[in-house]
Amino acid sequence: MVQNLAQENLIRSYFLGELSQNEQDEFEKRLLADPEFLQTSRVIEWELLDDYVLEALSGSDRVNLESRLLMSAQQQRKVQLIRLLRLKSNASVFIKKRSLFTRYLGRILFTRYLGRIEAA
Amino acid sequence: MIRQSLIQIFIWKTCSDAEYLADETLDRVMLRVPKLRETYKGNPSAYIHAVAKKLLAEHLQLENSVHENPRTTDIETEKMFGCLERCLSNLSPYSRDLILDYYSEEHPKNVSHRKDVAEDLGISVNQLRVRMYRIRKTLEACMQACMGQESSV
Repeated sequence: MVQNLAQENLIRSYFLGELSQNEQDEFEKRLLADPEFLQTSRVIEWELLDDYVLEALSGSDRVNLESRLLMSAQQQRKVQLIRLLRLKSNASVFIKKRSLFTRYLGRILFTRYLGRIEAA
Repeated sequence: MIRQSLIQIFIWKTCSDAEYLADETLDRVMLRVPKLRETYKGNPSAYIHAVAKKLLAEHLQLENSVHENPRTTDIETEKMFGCLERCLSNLSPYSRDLILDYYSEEHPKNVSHRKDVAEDLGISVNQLRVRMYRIRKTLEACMQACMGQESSV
């Protein structure tokens, strides 16, 4: 689906408002005619929003995205979804780590307990 | 397919009523079809795009080109979190683990993020991108349905 670097850069430029009016028109005509191109554009859109939330975009790309794509409620909801997924993901990692730690601690205490019984 | 593409273009142009605009574009095109059949030569998508562009200009004029930057409220965020829990539980365990791992802070917060996740999973970056796209799409549709139900309660 996503293979061509030049094409990916073109799609990113569209979302960041870096294309001329003519280039935008050509881009949109292609979206109407080519389902695979539309799908690739959707993939890149999500990834740009990921990079925005992860703060992996340059300052100017951030500003461009905020003043274009992120002006719509739908895109804002996507950004919010990504933020919540990160929260949820990190909470899950914390719980997993805590349970591993508890298990580790339990094992140490149990070993010590067995050691005491054997010594007695 | 063309309708879906039009909706997507209007969304990316930050139009709040993308579905209406897509339908209006197609209605206008359909009205012209009998005449176009005799005279129009070239790619039909170019004509559809021209109609959509004109409609967008009219729409923006009506909206006075002013967009308000929508912000989600705390109540909405709470609702979204509830829906997210519900929608994540609808995913297969593999997809759920994959998306949670993808967004984990344990991966670097830069451009090599996707590469790092793909390496961890032993798949190519492209495979990861396609899988992530499918999961997000499912999750987004579920979230939309769930948020719709929540707000109608």
